[in-house]
Amino acid sequence: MEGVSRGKKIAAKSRASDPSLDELLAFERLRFDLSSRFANVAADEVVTEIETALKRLYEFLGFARATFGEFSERGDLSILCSAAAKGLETVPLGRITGFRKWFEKELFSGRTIAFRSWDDYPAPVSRAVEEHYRQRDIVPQLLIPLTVGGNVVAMIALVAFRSGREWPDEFVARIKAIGEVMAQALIRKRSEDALRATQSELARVSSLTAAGQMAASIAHEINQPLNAIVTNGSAGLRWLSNPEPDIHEVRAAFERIVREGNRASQIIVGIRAMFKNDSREASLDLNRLVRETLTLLDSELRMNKVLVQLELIPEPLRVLADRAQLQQVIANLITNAMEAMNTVDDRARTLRVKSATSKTDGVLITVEDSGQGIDQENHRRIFNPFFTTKPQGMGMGLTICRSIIESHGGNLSASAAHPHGTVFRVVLPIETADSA
Amino acid sequence: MREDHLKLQPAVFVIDDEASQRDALSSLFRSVGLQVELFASAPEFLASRRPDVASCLVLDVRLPGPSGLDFQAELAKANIHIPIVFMTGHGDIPMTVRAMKAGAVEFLPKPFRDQDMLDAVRAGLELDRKRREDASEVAGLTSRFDSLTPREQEIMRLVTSGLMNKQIAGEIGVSEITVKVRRGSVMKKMGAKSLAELVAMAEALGVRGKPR
Repeated sequence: MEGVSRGKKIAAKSRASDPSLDELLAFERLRFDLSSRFANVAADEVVTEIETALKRLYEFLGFARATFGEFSERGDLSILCSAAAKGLETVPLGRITGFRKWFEKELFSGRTIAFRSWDDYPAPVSRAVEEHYRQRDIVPQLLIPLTVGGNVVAMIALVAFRSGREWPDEFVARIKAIGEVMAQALIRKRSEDALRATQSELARVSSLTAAGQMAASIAHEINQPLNAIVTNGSAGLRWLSNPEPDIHEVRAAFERIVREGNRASQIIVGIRAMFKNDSREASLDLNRLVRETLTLLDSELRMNKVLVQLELIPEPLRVLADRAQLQQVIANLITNAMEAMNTVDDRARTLRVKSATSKTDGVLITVEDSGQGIDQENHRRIFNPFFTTKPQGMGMGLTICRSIIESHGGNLSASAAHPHGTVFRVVLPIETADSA
Repeated sequence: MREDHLKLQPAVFVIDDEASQRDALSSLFRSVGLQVELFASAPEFLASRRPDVASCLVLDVRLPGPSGLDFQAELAKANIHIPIVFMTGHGDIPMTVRAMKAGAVEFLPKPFRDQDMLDAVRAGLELDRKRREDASEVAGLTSRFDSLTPREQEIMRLVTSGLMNKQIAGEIGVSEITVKVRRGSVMKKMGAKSLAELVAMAEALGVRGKPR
């Protein structure tokens, strides 16, 4: 602190050069205050918060200007915010240009720049820089690179009014500490932005994939009865046009046509119901929804040799819910169960879907498979985003399922089934007279 | 006896896990007088005792268990040569290409025209009939070849490789006259009217010597 004693005359303007105990305390209070503010700030308010902090900082220090910039991974510096005392211009936001470019490389390599007088400026840039600052009667500059996790990610710059002031190490360290609080908040915002972008993209892709799979499955389901109708019709015509028409065969063909026509119509009813009330909550019967979903997945289940055991209570299970979303959850749980069993060859591949009601829990649907089960290690993570045990999995299925169920005021949990497999439990509030 | 088998009524085998598809196809084939047998799965088909007649297999590429395409490969590996007509619910081009390359008779997208299905099945049955005929011809050739003495068999190999009597005589250490006599008896026993015919027989039997 010896070296700063000669700045006494201008102490009012540049307090940091003459720190009293009070001032030190005030500095610490400022730092603590900023730290706690930044710890709670929302990602989209980080830049505004940095700007407020810069203002407080230069006012507190009696400086001319405070500026905060962000480095890209390649070392390009962009100014995020800049605050200046009355009558002084702020640094233009965005990519730095012109005479200011000289300090970009220096800072990115991790060096602090501290100038007291014109003599300190590097020769190649001094003329342009000098001109700029002379006009404004400012010289002393402090530019500090800010590191997070070992990488230079940002910088903070302070400009003081004309004086031959020193930049003591303690002072630099304090400003750096404050700057790094801001830089950390910035990095957190960056990664939150990136994560949010990835998550929404994944949700979009996975819902597209699910829609594509559903469409292919529906096309197949409808094509089967159509093909049977066409073939039976052709066969019937041929039986009729034979020299000795076989009326019994013709009748049998007609009967099959009627049956298959009804089957196709049932499938269409199911699909219509699925796309109705797009994002609306409506009263629906969960038992019926389970049956319809199983019909849509019928051919997949048969292909995978899955034995379906349906144990639904006879009364309708009324809930107030978004049909399409709930169907997505049920289809997802059934598909997961099916996939969990496709390596099982030494026992039956049994899918057990049960429903129940309870006074305390509301409506309960369980989906149980006889697969390998989930080990302890993975069990805690299955609902986490991006967690998957499937080679082609995205790890979003169960995350989305859980958020759908929770948005309906219910919960989704998993536990081991006995003797094999996993059981998923969907609990939803039962529809009461007043909720309808 | 063998010839009688070929005249027996040909059979169409349908493999489909859906009874509604099997029943419809069965009715269609029977309406034009074809004999049909139905199977719910590939293993069921393999385990069955099938009539030894010209036959054709009709199946969906989406069979449960091993897919229709895998089953096609499995049959080829097991040396079961039966023409296959595939049905598919999806217009899957790579699948079609794979099936056709592996020797499928036809690949019909559902729903198909009855005439297309009947044409495909008839083409398959005709293919199988020809294959059986060829096979029975080879069986006749084999028994005639077996009736040759070892020396005659050797002479047949050498003659069909393009050697002249003189060269054969030198090769096996007998006189040229002996070769001529043995050669005459080979032609007679094999029922060949010319050297070209004998070469074709040797080719079919896989006993033709390497041309030198």
